[in-house]
Amino acid sequence: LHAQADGRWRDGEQVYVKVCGHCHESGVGPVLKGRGLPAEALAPITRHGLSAMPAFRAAEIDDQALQALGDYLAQTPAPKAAPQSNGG
Amino acid sequence: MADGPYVALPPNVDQAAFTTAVRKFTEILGAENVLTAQEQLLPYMKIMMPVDEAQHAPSAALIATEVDQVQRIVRVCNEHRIPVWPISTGKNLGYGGTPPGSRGQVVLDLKRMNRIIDVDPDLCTALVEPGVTYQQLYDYIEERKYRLWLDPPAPSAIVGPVGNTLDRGVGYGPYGEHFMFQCGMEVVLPNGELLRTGMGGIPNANTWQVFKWGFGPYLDGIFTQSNFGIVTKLGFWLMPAPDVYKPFAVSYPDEADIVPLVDSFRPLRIGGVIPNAMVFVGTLYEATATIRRSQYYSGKGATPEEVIRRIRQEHNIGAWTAYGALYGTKEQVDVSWKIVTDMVRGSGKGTIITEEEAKDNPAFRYRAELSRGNMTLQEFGLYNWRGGGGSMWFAPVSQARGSETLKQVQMATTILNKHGLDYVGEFIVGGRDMHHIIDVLFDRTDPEEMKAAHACFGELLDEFNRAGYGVYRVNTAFMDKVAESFGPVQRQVNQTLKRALDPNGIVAPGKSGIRV
Repeated sequence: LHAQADGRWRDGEQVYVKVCGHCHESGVGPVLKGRGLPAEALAPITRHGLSAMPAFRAAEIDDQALQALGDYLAQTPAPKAAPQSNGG
Repeated sequence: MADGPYVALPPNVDQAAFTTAVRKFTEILGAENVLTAQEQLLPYMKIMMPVDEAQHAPSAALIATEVDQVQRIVRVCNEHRIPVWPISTGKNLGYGGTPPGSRGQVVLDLKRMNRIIDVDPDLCTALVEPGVTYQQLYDYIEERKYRLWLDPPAPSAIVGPVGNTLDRGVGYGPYGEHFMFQCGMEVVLPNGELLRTGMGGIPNANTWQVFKWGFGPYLDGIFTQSNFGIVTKLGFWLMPAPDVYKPFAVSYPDEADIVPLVDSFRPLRIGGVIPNAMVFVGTLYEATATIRRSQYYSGKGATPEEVIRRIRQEHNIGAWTAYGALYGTKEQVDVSWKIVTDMVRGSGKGTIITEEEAKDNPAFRYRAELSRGNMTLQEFGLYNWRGGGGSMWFAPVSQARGSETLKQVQMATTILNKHGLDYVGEFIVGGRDMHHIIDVLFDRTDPEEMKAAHACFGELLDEFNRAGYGVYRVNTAFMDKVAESFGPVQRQVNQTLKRALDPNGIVAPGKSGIRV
């Protein structure tokens, strides 16, 4: 997965790996994969933040990339073993 | 973009005048890069401070991608007296986050100005724009297989070198004092002129990123933690990747062990045997990598001491854990490792933990990754300790002297506990100085706890100030109070500079307590 060029993300997986996964794969935030989470559910949380989670602006992850992230997450299987979690 | 009503208006600017300014911004940036709708501005309002979001609501956000756009925006701001709050990646969590320092300022969002202009693998330098993240730079270097390492702060992947360095943030490798390793800056001044510091003033210079001082007064410092200009390019030095990297930890069982710990490591740090920004981590700071408070305690108030002792026992966490690392050839690392282990064993205190022994311990792993410049957000586990989205960094500077560190820990713990909050702290070791980093964590959804956190932070500042201590950096709600603590003369000099460079006071009024 290469670096983003000019602030444009290549696809949903790239957004996930380079931003979200750092918390949502390490137990800081809850697991997102395999939950059938649609983009419509992700968007408000991403844009407004939620409690411990920071907000992300369209300048960071634009609407198109956010949609692609939702499409990517919707088709991911649940991880085999949940990471050691202190998140909720 | 709309003609209002707006989420907020800048002070002393009416809706009609603001609409005129917004139209001019739109001519410069295009409608899609001028945000005034509530829905668009919500991401610019998330704060972790114990104050109402409304106090920091922006009137608009402007997304610029070119230096000349920034210059033109500044000119419009002067015409209409619009205050503008520049952000780079805008992830200043615990220090104010993305929102402006006060209500109604326009956020100038430079996240999309994100070109990596140059990385020189021979001279080990970089020149980047404000929106570049450490992740982006890390990937860029990996793709080109350059033997260079980065030095990110803990929010690594989602923050960048420009914004972090401009607030004089720190990392954990040998280049951890970021401003110290910064070299060359480009600044849009409040009058719209473009300044390049250091050697950058010479046309066609190729030494902008290799020699810091240039000629005459050295100016870069006045653009950090300040509001004298808008930085659009930043140069800095990168560390050559060593052959061998050896991270290690030393665990100490008792709270009072911070005294011998600091005094025994100081000579190795000042002498360069341990070259990186070591950290000395308290129990709860260490614990947040794997556990949250509710697993052990659901009562109100500070976490009781017996609970903290239980956490230490059950998770094998020291009262203090020192993390350091060695870098170099195998021979160099072996020599230094013998010095370190001889020192620890000779002191009769502390248990050495190597990378092999730590295995998959998440706390050790993320420390090891940060000290070698890898991306990890594991430390955000801090925000789960209590949850609820409340966090302020209380970060007094301390001498790297054992007795001083113990005194600060005891002072902070007493004040935090009095307000029902926990001491969650670590020391980042500069050599002679410590950044004593305390995360004032609280549940922002609990109005009582929010009030307590606000009072607690004020008291921490007051009591530490009375003892001769000051913080190195602070959130936007407490900047005036901190500016005051450094005395009237510093404040007057800053105001004199502000008046000279920014007579209309349009750039980030209130940053570090500075206004015209």
